[in-house]
Amino acid sequence: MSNTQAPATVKKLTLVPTRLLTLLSSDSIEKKVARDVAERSILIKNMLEDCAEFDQAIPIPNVTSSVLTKVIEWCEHHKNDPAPAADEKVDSRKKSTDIDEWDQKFMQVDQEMLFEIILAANYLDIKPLLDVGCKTVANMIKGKSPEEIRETFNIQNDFTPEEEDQIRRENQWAEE
Amino acid sequence: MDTSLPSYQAATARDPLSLIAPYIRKEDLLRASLVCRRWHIVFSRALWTSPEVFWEMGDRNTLSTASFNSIEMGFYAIPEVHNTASPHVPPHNNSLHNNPQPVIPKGCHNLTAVGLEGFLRIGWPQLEVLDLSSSNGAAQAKPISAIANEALLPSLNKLVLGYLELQDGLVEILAKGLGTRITELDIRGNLVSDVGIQWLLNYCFLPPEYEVGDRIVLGQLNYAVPPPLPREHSGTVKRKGLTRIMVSKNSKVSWTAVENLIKTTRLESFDCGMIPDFDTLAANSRKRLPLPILSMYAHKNLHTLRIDFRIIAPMASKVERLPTTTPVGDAELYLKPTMLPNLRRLILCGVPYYTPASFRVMDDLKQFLDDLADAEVEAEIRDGKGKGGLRYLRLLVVGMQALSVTEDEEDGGVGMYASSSGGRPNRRNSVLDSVEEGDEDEDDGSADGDKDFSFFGDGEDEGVGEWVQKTQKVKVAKKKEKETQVNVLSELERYREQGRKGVGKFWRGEVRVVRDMGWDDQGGVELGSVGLEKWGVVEEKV
Repeated sequence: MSNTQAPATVKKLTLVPTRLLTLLSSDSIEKKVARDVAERSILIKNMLEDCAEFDQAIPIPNVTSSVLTKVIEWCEHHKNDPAPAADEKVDSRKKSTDIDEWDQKFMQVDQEMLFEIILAANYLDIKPLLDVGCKTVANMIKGKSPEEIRETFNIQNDFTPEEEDQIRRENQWAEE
Repeated sequence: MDTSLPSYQAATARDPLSLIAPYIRKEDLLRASLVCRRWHIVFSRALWTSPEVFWEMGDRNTLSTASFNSIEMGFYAIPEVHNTASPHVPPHNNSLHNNPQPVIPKGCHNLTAVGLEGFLRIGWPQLEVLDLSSSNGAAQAKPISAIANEALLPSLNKLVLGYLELQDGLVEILAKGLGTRITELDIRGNLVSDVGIQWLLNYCFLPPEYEVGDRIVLGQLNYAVPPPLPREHSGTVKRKGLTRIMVSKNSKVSWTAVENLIKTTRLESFDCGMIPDFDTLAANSRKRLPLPILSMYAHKNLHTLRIDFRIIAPMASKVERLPTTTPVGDAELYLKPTMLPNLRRLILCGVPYYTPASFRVMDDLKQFLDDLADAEVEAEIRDGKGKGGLRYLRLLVVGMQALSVTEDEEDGGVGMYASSSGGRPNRRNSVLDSVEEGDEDEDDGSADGDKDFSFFGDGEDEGVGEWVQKTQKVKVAKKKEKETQVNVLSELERYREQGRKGVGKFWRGEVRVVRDMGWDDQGGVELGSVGLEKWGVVEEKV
């Protein structure tokens, strides 16, 4: 370990015990989490900036404990990532479909959990996690016919044939 | 879950699909929108709220032109969008010039009212030109209200709503919403009547602008001087109101409405097309004839006019009543070049290909060309050699009528000039003969006056067939059938040729002959030209 990093580590080590936050999931389960990990969430980060001290548990009303566990796991792994540049081109971020290997493995969960993670990432304002989740879904849709998409996501086709035809015609311009 | 109204939570957070939508590739979006109703709601919104992303035209804030056209062959509608940063050739011209066939822009038939409204509702801050011609979905109250909404299209300047079966009610919505925001409106080929025109007159024009003491007729009139117009810091008039309007091919628009439009004094470019009741007007009431109105109210601003050719044809119009004598004394009722000194472009529509010799259409045309020549000479004397003539009309487009249908023998109107069955085979031959000529001349655009007239550009065969087919339907009064037919086009050509050789008067301006595609078609095909003209298929347009 280099000298330049040492002071930071020391500081962090000394701070961590006092900066352990408690998050309260929607099903009333408390999760202890280091502040720097929790601050991957812009929502929590902003909340902490507004308040000097938190001795109470922070309620996360939209997220169940199982999902919260997953989200914290992701934040732990990515806690040292550089913050995404604010002026980064939104489109390029959204349109690229590459997901790094760890994240791919991380996202190998059932679909319900996948959508829950996306919702939680949105609620907690964790942009990189939202990107990973949405890209995962986008990749599941990529190149598939409507019928294949229905199979993938186990969706019932509730269109009448006429409706389907109407939509197809209306959106024809978008097809190549 | 969907039976009750969504709670705040459900509305804001429990919707993973709309979060995912921006990440889905455009090629997947359509298929995703076909999965089920719920997906459709989410993903079609993504499709229609960011069309600029799909066209890859950059930021919608900089888009200046949009028109919905589909290529004829495919049934995909390709929205044409132009960026202020990189203006393209307008789509119409583009497709027409690249394709030798007379392409009639078909519009976007699969554009629905809902889709269009959605498109407009996004708001296009810099959109100046919107062309929805023949896009069937447009002619409904919702999209029309969206177009008329200033908040959505604040920069709109030119609106093209041709061939939509627009009715007066929609024009009312449009007029009330647009006010004086736009300067150019094209509502050709709709079902608008005088009532709709009145809505436009009520809402879309600035008050008339009279010049007291102007050298032309206005001296006799005693109008109050209107208060000065509101001006911006730059000194330019903030809102001009409508100055360019095309109302032709709305068969319910009468001369009265046309007259009222001219009386606004604001018109710069005006397409009123054929005047259905012209002959009645000419016969019954002198003071209601077009001319005094035109010279009185339009002499200052009007630079482009597309109008019934009978406006320059006193002899042809009089023929029924005075078959042998030239009308004397009411010549001022017809258009003379000096009446509209600022006119740059005159398009005469409805000129027949063939006329019986007794209808003195040719005499009228020759007379008009002579008048032009005289006016040119006068101007040269006044302004000096080489400079003169520019003040006068440069382009005379004679819209040759492809056919004219009437069953009314008594009617002195268009029907009298209908080409008879006797003239047809002859014409057909001449057309086919000259097709090859047209091919060779195609590239020689710099014709300096000694080019021969030629019929049609290339690729016209289909058009000819269509024409022949149509003429078979033409019913012509039997008494006209035996009469000698005059080929107006070749007569005109001969006359110009003579003039060029120094026989008689010669106007040095440009004459183009364009086939009018009839009452219900758009565009036209160039038949031939003399002067500084390029060959090929062009759209006849004001």
